[in-house]
Amino acid sequence: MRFLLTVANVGLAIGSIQAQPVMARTADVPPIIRSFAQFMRAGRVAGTRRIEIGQGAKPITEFIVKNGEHMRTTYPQNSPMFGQVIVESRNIRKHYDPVRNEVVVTELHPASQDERILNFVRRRVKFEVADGGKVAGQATTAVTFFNPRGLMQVKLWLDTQTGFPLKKVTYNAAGHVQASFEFESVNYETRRPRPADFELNVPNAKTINPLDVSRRIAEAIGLTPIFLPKPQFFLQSSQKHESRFGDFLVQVYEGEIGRVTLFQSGRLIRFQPPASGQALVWQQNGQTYALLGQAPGVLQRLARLLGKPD
Amino acid sequence: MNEFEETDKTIMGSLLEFEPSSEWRKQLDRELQAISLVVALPEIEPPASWRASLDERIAALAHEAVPLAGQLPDIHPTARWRGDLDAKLVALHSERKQSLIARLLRRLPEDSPNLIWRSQLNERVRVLAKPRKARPFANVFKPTAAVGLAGILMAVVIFQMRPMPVASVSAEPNVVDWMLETHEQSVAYGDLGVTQPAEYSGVAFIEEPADLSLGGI
Repeated sequence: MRFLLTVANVGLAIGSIQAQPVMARTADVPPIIRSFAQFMRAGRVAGTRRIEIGQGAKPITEFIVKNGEHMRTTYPQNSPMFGQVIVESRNIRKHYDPVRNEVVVTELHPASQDERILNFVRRRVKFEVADGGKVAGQATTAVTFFNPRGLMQVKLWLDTQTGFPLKKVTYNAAGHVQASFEFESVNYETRRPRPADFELNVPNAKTINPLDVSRRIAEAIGLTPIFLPKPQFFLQSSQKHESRFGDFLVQVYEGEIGRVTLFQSGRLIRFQPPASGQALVWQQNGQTYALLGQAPGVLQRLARLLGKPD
Repeated sequence: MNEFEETDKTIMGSLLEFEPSSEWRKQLDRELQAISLVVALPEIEPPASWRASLDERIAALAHEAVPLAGQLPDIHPTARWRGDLDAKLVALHSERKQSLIARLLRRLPEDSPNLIWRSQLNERVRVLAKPRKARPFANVFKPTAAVGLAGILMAVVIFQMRPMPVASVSAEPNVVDWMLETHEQSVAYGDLGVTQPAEYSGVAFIEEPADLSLGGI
């Protein structure tokens, strides 16, 4: 009951600080961006892409099959992720875990990445359009978006013919490369997939959601989990992190203010106060909590409502 | 008739009963005359110097009057009369002298200095009193310096009592740094529009649909 009240209070508080919807200005959208939006809504493609997250990390190879707003992701046999299958529609993602033989069904935030790219244009974020050269054998048009400091934020290499993003690089606030993907091959002539290809009906597999995963992890490491409120925040993933500081329940949320990560540990962990407002750490009832995100003001209110003492 | 006239009349009445010498009477007349003059002084505001000299004259006359009584034996009155008269004169003159001086002093106006004199005095005081130089930063600097000095002394005491540990705190791994790193990785997946896969040792479970396999691309 107390938890529900907390969730309700947080929901009411955050509802008042939600970003205002952005009015579309179709006339302001360049043709290549419109092609991109059109393809992400109705295009069909199959391809292999390589993902790099952070510097020095081992690249991940994915097989992608896309049909309109549906996408299926699998991994090659030599990948540590082999056996996992991810199918997505506009609002739902299903992630098959072969080890536990369960399917995690996740509700997606309406503001998808593709939608955010369009909002960049609608919000008149500064961008540049230029020739991007060839990626995966296709001629591309490069679209670069800049942050308010004039540093690169996102760069897309869009197939000049279709608008499909063949390469994407994201940058952190300092303008350094954060992550990237790049298609090694694409095929626009693949056969039309069947609806069942994106259903992920696995016999005998248990269907759960991220809240269930959180509760299971919390029980394993001996803590009482707390959650951020819906519909302001959508729980995207729950993971157990075994760090040198101890075991943590790590929940990743998606919201209007971007990604928010909530850390919980079942014991008191010594920490140095964060230097920036992007991280809030507090301890209560013998547990350690941390809330990380891009909007310090919202984080403060969230943390206070979750029990962080002033 | 005021009290002085009454006194004079009494004295004179007493004297008429005897036959004093002419010299003694002249002395007495001068004394009475002087006293009458003083009593008859108009209500004026004489200068202080004049007043001071007058006071001196009155005092001198009073002193002169007292010895007159000593000359009374020369006129050979009776012993009883002489004794009484001596006593009367001494008492009278002493009383009148004190009374007169007190009256005169009471009649003195409040001797308040005039504005010019006061102004000159102020000017002299101002010149003699060396004005302190205005030091606007003194009020700030002195307390700050005092606090700083106290802080230095406290730091010295603390560091002498508790030696600094070899390993500094900042050198220790901070859980917040690890959290930031984890969060940024999550943000990177989100920004990229890529689902973050779980890292398992590969377990083949589902056969890929043959017609969707990438081998056909």
